[in-house]
Order: sequence, then C-alpha cells, then structure tokens
Amino acid sequence: MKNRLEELRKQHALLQEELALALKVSRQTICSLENGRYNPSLRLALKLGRFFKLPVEQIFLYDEEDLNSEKSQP
Amino acid sequence: MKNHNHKTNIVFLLIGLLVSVTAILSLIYLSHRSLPLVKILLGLMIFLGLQLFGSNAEKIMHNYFLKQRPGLKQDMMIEQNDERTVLLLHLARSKSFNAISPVFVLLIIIFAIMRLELWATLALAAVYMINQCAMIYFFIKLNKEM
Repeated sequence: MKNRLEELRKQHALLQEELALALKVSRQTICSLENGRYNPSLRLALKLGRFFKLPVEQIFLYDEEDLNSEKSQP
Repeated sequence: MKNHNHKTNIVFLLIGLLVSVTAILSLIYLSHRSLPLVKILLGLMIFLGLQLFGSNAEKIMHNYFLKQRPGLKQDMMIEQNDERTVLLLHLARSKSFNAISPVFVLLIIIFAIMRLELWATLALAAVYMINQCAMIYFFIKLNKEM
C-alpha cells in the first residue's frame, strides 16, 4: 500500500529516528513503512494519523493496484 | 526472567563458579575410580554451576550497560514491543514450524526404514502428533478469541 509518510515526515522536518521515538516504534518500522514494504496495524495507522493530525486515508492510499493484488491472491 | 539486584547476581555467580570448579576438580580426582553415578552427578553439577554462572554474568553485564547508557532501556523496550519486530518473530516461528513438520515425517520414515527400536519411532511420531494437535488447539482457541 502506498503512503505519504516520507513526504509528511519531511514536511514536519523530522528524522526517521525522531518519528520512531514519538510513535514508540523502531526506526526500521518507519523505514519499512516509507518504502511500502510493511503495512502498519490499525493501531499504528491511527497513531500516525493523530501525530500528523490527518485522517488515516490521507496518509495511506488504497488504490487500484492494492485492489488488483488482493484479487490475484488465492 | 527475574531480575535480582546486583549483589544477589554476584553471589549467585560466585556460587555457580564454586559449584562447577569443585565438580571439575572432584571429577579429575575421581577419574581413575569407577563411580559412574557419582560422575553423572558431578557432570550435572558442572552443567548447573556453569548455567548459574552464565545467566548471572549476563545479568551483571546487562545491568552494567544499562547504567552506562540510560536511554538504552527505553530503546530496548521499543525494540521488543515494536509491532514489526513482533510480527517478524511470529512469521519466523510459523515458517520454522512449517519447515520442521515435513522433517519430522521424514525422520519417522527413516527411523522405520532403519529398523530402529519401535519405541524410538513411536516417540517421534508422538512428538509430531503433539505438535500438530497443539497447532489445532491454538487455532481453535484463537478463533474463539478473535
């Protein structure tokens, strides 16, 4: 799933370490989220939304590609 | 794991060292005598002594590094409770379970072909069955919870 995490983090002039510390997760988690290699739990997604003061759907973008990849899964 | 205070850790470390050194020296002293049961007990004492020594040495080192770097404890807590780390751990465990299941079946077949004692083959089959039953039990339990 695509997301705007890197863009938002840079807008807030934060380092990955700083964002990780604020959300009480590891830096690797932030890095994986930004690269789209890891989808967060609902809890973490809501924490991110609260941190950036944005609705979750404005941070995580559920697009056609995600829908197609879901359809192709057994 | 209980985290005793520093002095208790040192006392247990010394006890562990004393027990294992005494047992090693006794084993050397009794090496020419035929006392199988005593030697087994001494071997067990060495194992337990070294276990006590090792675990307490680890706790002392752990406490030392936590004192050196106060932020380390928080980092460790974050790393331990990090959802990605927990998920990775669960995935790694489930994959290792999946990988070991066919190995068990293969071992049972090999044991049977080798015509090893029946109890050994049956014991392995029982372990495999317990493993599979545990998986089904936890699946049903978690299914009810979620």
